[in-house]
Amino acid sequence: MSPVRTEPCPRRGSWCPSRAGQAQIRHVKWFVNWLALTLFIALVPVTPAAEVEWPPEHRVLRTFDETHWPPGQQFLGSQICQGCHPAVWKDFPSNPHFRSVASANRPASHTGCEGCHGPAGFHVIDANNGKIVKFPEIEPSQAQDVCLRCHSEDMGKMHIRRSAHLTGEIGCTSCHSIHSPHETATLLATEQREGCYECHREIEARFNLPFKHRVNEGAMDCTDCHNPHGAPLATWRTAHSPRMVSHGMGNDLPCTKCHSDKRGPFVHEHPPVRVEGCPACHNPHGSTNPRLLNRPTAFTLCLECHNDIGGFGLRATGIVPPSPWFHNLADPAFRECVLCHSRIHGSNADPKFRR
Amino acid sequence: MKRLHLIALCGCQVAFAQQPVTYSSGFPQASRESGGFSVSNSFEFGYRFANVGGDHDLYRASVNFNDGLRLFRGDLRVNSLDGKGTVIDEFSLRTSGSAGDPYVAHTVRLGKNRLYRYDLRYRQVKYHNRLPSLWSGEHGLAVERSMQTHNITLMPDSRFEVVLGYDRNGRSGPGFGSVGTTDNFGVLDARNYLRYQVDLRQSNRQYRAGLTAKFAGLAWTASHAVDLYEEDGPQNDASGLPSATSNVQPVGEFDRSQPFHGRTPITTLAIRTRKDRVVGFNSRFVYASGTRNSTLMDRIAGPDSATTAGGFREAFIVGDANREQSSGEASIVLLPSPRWTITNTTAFHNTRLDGDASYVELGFFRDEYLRFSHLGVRRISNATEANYRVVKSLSLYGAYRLSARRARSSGALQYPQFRFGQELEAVHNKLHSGASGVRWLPGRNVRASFDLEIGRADQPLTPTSERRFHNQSARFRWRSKDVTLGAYYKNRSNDNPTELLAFSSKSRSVGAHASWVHPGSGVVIDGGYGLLRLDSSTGILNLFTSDDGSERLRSVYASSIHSLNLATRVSLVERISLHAAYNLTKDTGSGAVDTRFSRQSAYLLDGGILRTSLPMSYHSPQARLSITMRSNLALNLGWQYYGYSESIAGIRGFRSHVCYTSLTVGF
Repeated sequence: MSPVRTEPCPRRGSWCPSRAGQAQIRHVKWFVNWLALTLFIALVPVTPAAEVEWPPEHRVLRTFDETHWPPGQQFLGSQICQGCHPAVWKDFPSNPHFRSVASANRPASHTGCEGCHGPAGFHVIDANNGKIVKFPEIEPSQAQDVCLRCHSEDMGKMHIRRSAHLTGEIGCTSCHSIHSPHETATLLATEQREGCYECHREIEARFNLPFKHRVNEGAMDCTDCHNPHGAPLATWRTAHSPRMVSHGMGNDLPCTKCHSDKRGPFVHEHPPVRVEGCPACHNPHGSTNPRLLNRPTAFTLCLECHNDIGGFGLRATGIVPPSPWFHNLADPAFRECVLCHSRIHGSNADPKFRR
Repeated sequence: MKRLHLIALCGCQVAFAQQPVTYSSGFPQASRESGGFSVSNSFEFGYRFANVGGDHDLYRASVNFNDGLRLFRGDLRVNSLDGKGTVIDEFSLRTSGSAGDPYVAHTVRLGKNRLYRYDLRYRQVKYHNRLPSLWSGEHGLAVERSMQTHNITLMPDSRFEVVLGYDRNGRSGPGFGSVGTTDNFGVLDARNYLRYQVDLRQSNRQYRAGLTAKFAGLAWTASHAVDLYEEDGPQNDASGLPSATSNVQPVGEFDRSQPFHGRTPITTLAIRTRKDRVVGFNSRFVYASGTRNSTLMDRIAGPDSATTAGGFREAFIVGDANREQSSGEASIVLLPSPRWTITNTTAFHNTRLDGDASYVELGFFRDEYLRFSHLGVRRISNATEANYRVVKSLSLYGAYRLSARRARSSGALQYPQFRFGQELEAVHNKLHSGASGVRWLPGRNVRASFDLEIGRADQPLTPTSERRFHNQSARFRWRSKDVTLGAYYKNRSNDNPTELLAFSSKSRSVGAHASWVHPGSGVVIDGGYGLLRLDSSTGILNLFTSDDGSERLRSVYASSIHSLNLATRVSLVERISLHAAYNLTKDTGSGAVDTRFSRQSAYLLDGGILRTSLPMSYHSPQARLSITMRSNLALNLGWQYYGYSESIAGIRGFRSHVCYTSLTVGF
């Protein structure tokens, strides 16, 4: 963070923060407030979390909790599982979960077969009646609770509890296959886009349009823009939608990760780009129109905002009302807005985005 | 086994339902153990050839496959059997489109347990587009974008993880565009725009380092990144190029250079609970302070209408732009019982953009003048969401969301003699929205969900922003061992009333799909249909005054996209399988084709209504024959047809046959 910018202060006869400096101070205030709130709330859950008494119906997580075990139940280690499940073990070295087995740095309840399936003490005695977590037989929400015993600490999953997938009862095993993955790094059951298309058929239809991002061609993945485990609230639009879109550059639109030339900052910004985001004019999944535009002609798209009708925009008189005498759209020369306003995403030289 | 079957079913049905390039499943995969490692691999390489007719520009903007030898895809995995390799425990390589395809992707992972993990992602896209808003052909790009991301994690899966990263994103290639010119008073004259050619060079690099520490029941992450951006490339006169329009102003001389460089440091801090058993908490703060510095030098010589000062204009502009962004979020998760999940999230975002530029224009005012602009956006939001499982098969979802946003702007123009100032203006917008949902899972094979969201905003920034909106959606899926049936419905509606004319937008998506797999023969049949319909209507004032005398118009856009997918896979005889699929996308616009739409436009001024629509059809049948010659060797023959046409008067489109022959080999 750079030093606070100052300027001569005529009233005090000394130096005081300039407007930019005042903004810096505001940003610092935001940080201090965030830190205070964070530390205040963070201290609350740390201690009681370890003393949780699980409700009786939540038997899956009780399986891992020693205080609820009947006498004789115990962790036996993954080696003993190999005897009856050799085919599963054969592929396990390529599984990311094998790392904890090889590293041997985790407690028995968090590693190997029993890390997910629970202690095998009774299971090896009576495979049919021994209590063990069988994922095909439990509900998606219970399966996700097992996964989140370890994975809730991941940075990319910090918003998973309020993600549209979990609130929609789409659990981890809906997309991931631990023992038969298509891709070992992520343990996805299918090619990523195929798994997403399975539910999001309308998005798949978008990617079949003539102009689209190259997801089907393999140059992009859905997770380039989306976080299926939940994303922070958007910093564009009104924050609450879209819900599963990850951020680029920490707190920007994900589009700017690749389209860095549109990121700015520019001396003259096109405000809707910053306030409403790129989808104000583009459909990111696919379009029948070149450049993924929402309309086949640019001027009809522009006119939806630049309509000269009062009540909108920063001046509340129509957004940048054009003067009819030289923007008469009856003349075809004025129907290609970007011919002149070619730097429409932002310009360093012209407030009208002409150069 | 049952699960494997379902996974295979899902994979097949969707693989067939998309625009395929090459197939990603069903390849021979060689696997063996060697020297304490398990090795598996599969590579498909061959020759692709394309026969294109019609509009090549359109084809290259949409499909862009061409002739040549290709490595269509490759997959190599090496894993140590005991997780205790000397240098590596894991190596994986996935690649597609190598050796000349317009879309290339490589993924590499290299790791040693508890010591390091290295991830590389490299992508390259050849992008060709000389299609501006609609067909007048004045803007174009034939560029290549390459993106690479490197991440090294030291001491992964330990209490202290160090992450180092480097990104590089570059775009280069020729392009051409246009620049609007002004008269002596700075008034735009669209008849006199100039066309220029540019040798585009954009480069973006990012360096980052971060640390994650886990202690006191929390995971703490701090990272810092520096993002550097550079863009340059000379712009030269291109008036002599053929033009689809007649109002290109020839100039005697045009040169421009417009380099700009930027730097954005980004600091991220995050804290989260490691176990969210009853109460969970996570929080994140990001601060980014970006600057971009630019210069622009213009030199134009030509007719007086395009320039000034006797046919010569020279401009020198120096600009500095600064943007400071801070955003933070704190989220509490309450799990009072397995039936309840309650979350509350509070977030803020504050952006301040300041830009100033100094102008020296010969032939204009001759004096240096200054411009200043400011845009500030501040947003505070809160969302409370709750999920309640009533019974095992039924759960309810509810949410209340609040967002308060303030957007402010100001600007100034200063000459030595006088000054124009635009006062600080602000728009305050507050949004309240509520959502509810029902998830019904009567059996393991059946899933149905219904969602509703209603929102009200008081002062949106633009007419197309959300103001009075409601969204409904429903999904249904039934899946058995052999059959999957599904359907979805989505409706989004937004009304933005004004004093004179209202903006209204309605989009609906409805579709159904079915798949069947014969368990014995492996025959797969898949089909799906979807309709995406969008209607929007908005008002326009005072922009067509001299043509039809009307000062008040309605602008109406209609789109009805029908999407049909059919696919099958059949084993003809032992070792020979056939994949066949058909994909059709058709936009019928507002319904019947209106022949009054002209060739080069998709709009029609019809009395007091400006109608916009682009009826088009895009279909793509395909087939692939695979002959398995050995357990690790297969011969593939593939064909795909792309046919695109527009139904506005005067057909524009392309048709192409893209074929390939390839070998799939596992070594």
